[in-house]
Amino acid sequence: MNEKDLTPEEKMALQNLPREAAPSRILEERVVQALREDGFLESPATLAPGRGRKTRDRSWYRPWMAVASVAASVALFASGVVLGQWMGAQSTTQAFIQVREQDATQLALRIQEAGSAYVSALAALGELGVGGDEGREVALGALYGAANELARMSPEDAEVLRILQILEERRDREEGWDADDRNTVWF
Amino acid sequence: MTEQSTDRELADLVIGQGDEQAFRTLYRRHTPAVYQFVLRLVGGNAQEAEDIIQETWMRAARGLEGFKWKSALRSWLTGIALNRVREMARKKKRSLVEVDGEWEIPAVSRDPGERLDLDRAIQLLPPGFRTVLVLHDVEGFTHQEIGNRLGITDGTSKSQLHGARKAMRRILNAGLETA
Repeated sequence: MNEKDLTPEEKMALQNLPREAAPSRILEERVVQALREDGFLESPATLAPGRGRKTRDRSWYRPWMAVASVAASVALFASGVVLGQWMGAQSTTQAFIQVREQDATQLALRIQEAGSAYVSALAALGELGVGGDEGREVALGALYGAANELARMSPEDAEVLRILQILEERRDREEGWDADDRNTVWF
Repeated sequence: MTEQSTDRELADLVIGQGDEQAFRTLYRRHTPAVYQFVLRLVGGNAQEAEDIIQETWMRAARGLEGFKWKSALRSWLTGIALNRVREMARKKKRSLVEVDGEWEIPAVSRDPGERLDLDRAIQLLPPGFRTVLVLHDVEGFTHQEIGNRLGITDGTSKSQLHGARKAMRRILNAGLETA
């Protein structure tokens, strides 16, 4: 037998290791409470018929998120302009039908277009030698927003999380946050 | 909604109605296994494992609407938990893959005649060895899956596993010698 391989006894011992363990009972309450506070679960107080879902609290709010929000607003505004121009060229009814009928491929195409526009704008900024810190901040904010959305789409993707982590660490450094102090809540 | 409802039915209730009971059913169904997995990865530190489980569920709740159900919910949760373990290790500047320098068997206090059990031996491994051993030999991940999950090559995973098994045998043998 290769010394690297497990012996049958070792294999059996490993297979027989317990597969489950009970965390403290308090943990379940902690998780439920946190999800209530984030608005994912109805708290008992909001279970009455006709009452809306709780809004998410903003205890996770960080100053740099304002920059990301500005970047997202700019992107939303730009998308609105493009969409408005596109819809202006068609009848309103037709345009709405087309918007609703957009499938994943078309949406992916839009993301590609938006991404290309983002890169082109950055390149132009660099070539003109203007923008400075402000431009860089807005660009990073948009990048962070995109990484956040990607992480939300696929939270199990280690590489996406790594990108997000790098961006978060950078922001923490620039804003003097201690990473250990930050309770990571990023989507 | 019953205890027999599928994960998907329960998840739909959580997403659509914020149904706490549906969430609790999901939580109780999957947490013990994911917790045991995390507990092994973090070397038996229950506090750290519980923090990771909480973060895992928070992230899962946020991502649940986008979950495509191409894999089992348990696998997805395990993947999220593993990423959280990696992030935690990174914050503590502790590598989940590399083992620094010469590794020595830690001194373990045990009662005379007490044998060191396998789980305790795994806990005593350095994180760089422990991670690959738990993923491969306990959880059944392939080297390719480990490579993808940890961002390392298949070869690194194999060599770490080799080192981990050697180290585990040394710990267990040392336990036998001193018992």
